[in-house]
Amino acid sequence: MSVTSSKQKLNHRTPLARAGSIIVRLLLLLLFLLPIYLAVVSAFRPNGDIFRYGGTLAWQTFIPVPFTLVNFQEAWALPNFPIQIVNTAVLALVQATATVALALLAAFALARIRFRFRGLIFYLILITMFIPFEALAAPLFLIVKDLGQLNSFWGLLLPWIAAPIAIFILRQAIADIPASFDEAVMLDGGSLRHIFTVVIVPSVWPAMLTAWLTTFIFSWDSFLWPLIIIQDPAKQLAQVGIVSLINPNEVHYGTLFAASLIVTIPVVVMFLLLQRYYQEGTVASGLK
Amino acid sequence: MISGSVKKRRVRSPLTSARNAALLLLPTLLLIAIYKYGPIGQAVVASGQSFSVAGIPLGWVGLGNYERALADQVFLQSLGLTVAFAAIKIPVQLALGFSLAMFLFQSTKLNGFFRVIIITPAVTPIAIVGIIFLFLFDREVGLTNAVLTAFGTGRVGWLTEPHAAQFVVIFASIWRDAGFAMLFYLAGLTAIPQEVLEASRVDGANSWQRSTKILLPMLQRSTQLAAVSTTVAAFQYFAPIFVLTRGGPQNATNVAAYNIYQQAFVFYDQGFANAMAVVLLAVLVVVTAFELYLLRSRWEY
Repeated sequence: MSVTSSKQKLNHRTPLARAGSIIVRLLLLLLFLLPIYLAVVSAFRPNGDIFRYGGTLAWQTFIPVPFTLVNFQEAWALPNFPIQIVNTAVLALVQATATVALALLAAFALARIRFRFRGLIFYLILITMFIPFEALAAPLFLIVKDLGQLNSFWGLLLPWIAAPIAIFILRQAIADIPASFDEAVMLDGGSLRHIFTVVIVPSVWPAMLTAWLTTFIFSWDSFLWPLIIIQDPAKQLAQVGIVSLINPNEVHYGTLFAASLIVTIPVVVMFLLLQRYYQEGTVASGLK
Repeated sequence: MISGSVKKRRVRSPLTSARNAALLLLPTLLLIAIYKYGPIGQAVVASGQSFSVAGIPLGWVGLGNYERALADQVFLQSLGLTVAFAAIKIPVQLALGFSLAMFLFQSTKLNGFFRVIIITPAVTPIAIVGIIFLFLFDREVGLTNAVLTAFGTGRVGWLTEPHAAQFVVIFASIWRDAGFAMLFYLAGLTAIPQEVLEASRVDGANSWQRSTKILLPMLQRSTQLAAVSTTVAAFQYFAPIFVLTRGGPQNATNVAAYNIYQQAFVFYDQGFANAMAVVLLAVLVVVTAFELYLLRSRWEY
C-alpha cells in the first residue's frame, strides 16, 4: 500500500517540481560531496598535478589521471604516523567501550533504583553536556597537570569517559523496559545483578551500540585536547600529527590528503556500517 | 491503595537501596566532579592568580586578570566575533537543516543516500575538515578560485583577506554541522502526527505555507535543541581556525576559544586565559538563556 501511495504522490508531481527536485539534489551533491571528492582525488595524484590542474577548470581537475599511490607511501613513511594511527584507534576503542560500561551502570541506577536526589543527580550529570570544554581547555589542563596525567594515555582518556550523552541514551532505553520484568526476577529470588544481566543488558544492546558509536566518533574527532596535553610525538594522535605537517609556505597536499584519508576512512566506514544507530542516537539525545 | 506489606517489601528491595545506587554511580560521579565541574571551579580559582611560564601559581592577583581581560581590545573583539559567529551560524544552519529535513523526509532509498551524504561531514574528523577547506579556498590551487578565474574574475586571497577568511571559517562550520540540524528536524517531523501532515495537504496548502505556518511552530522543540547545541558548538569552534587561519588575518577570525588557547598555551599566561574562560562561560550562559526565552515553547501536542 505504501508503495502505491508513494507512486501516486510521484505521479501527482508536476514536471516542474520534478526538475526542481533534481536540481536541488545536484546542488546538494555539489555542496556536500564535491569538497570531499576533491580531497580524495588529490590523495591519488602526483603533487605536481595538484598544482597543474588545481587552479583551473579542466576535466583533469576532477579525474585523477595519471593515478598514483606514491602519496600513501610517503604518508606511511612519515615519522610516527603509523604509531599515531594506532594511538588514535586504541584510544577510540578503549574510550567507547569504557564510556558505555560506565554509562550502563550509572543509567541502570538512574532508571531502576529509587533513591533520594535521583532527579537532581541525573540533572547535574545531564547539564554537563552543555559546557563548552574547548573553551575550558585551559582550566582542564591545570587539573590534569595536577593529577600528573599530562603527556599520557590516561590524560587523553579519563576526562571523557563519564559521558552525559551516553548516560542519557542508555537511561532512556532502560526506562523503556517494563518494571514488571524486574519484579519477576526478584520473585524468582534473583538479585540486582540478575536484573542487570538477564533483563537490562540483553534488551538495550541497540542503545549500547548507539552510545558506543557516538563515543567512538567523538574520540576520533579529538584535536585540541591531544594538541595541548601530548608533547611526545610517538604518543600523539594522528589528526594533530597531520596538521603539524602543514607548512604555510608550501602545502604538500598530496601527502596531506593521503594521510587524511587514512585517518578518515576507519571512522567513516564505522559510521556507514552503523549509520542507522548513529542517526537514532542523535535523535534520541535530542527528543525523548 | 498500596497495601502495607507491599511497601515493606519495597523498603528491603535492592531496587530502593541507596547503597546500590551509590556503588553504581560512584565512578561516574567522581569523574564528572573532577573533569566536568572541576574545570569551572579551577577556572575561577586560576583567574585570581598569576602563573609562571611552567604553569606554577605565583600568587593571588585579585581581580587583576579580569581588569586586564576587560581592557584588552583583542579579547573584547574575540568575544564580539564569537557572538557574531553564533548569530550567523545558528539561523543559517537551522534554516538549512529544516529545509533538508523537509526535502528528505520521505524515507526512500534515494533520500537515505542523500541523508548519509549530508551527515558524512559531521563524522569527518574536524581537523581534516579544516584541511579540506584549506585546499578548497587555496589561493593558487583551490576550486573556488578556479571557478572565479573561469568567470574572468581575479583570484581572491580567501584566507588572507579579513572578510573572506571570516566567510570561509563560517562556511566550514555550517558545512560540517548542517547534518546535525537536519537530524534534529527529521526527528521532530517523525513525532508530528501523520494526520496533521495529511490534513494540511488536503487543505491545498502549498508546501511552503505548510512548512512555515503549520510545521515550524510544531517543531519548536527541535529548534530549541538545535539552537542551544549549535550555540555551544559555535562557542568552542577551534580546530578549523587552527588549521585555516590561526586567528588571522589581523585577528579577523580570532574567536574567543582560539584566543584563550593562545593565551594559555602559546603565551603561557594561564591566569589571564582562565579569567577569559570565565567571562566566555558567562556570556554563553546569557546567550543560551536569551535563546531559550526567545524560542520558548508556545505549542503542545
